[in-house]
Amino acid sequence: MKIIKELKKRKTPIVKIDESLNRYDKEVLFPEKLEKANEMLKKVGLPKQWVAKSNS
Amino acid sequence: MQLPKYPLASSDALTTFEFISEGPNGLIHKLIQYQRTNLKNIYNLAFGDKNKETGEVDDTAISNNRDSEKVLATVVASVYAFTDRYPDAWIYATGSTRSRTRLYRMGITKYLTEVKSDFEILGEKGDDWEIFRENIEYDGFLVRKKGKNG
Repeated sequence: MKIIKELKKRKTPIVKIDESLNRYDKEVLFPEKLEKANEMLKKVGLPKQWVAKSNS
Repeated sequence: MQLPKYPLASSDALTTFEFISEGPNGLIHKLIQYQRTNLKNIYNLAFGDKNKETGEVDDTAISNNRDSEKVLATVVASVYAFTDRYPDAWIYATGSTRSRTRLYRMGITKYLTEVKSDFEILGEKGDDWEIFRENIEYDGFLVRKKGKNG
């Protein structure tokens, strides 16, 4: 019972590895969304608040 | 997270996840992918429905399975799993439509107290970033794990 309680409290979930999903890693499943993200990064750039912190 | 969520399966690299939504419209397979962007360590979070027969995915499908909260909680759980493997990753997320982005914002707001202790969250507004605040309309979100960065 204690173990079940501990498992329920875990924030990082237990993930079952399914090798059949490996094939998706080789392809871009949502190309439009990735393009949109890259456009945003080009236009808006990285957040100064984080970049400054990372470099300090 | 204590909220109900679906069991997750993943590729070896923990960059593609799958789960099955259950509701009045039946069992719907969902895929989440953390996509490398043009910038190092910045990933785009994308997810959508998977056609079980063809394996094709659709991020615009409206499944209406009346489980959007459980689906969002599952996506958040995948963020925990992904950043556990890739602690330096920054994750960008935006919806395929404005209403989807709003749904993500509401999801973040719902889990904010819990998520804020583990992650830093920024909102994309105009052409800038700001610390995520409730009830503000954003175009997208950037998340990273707290720790050595924060």
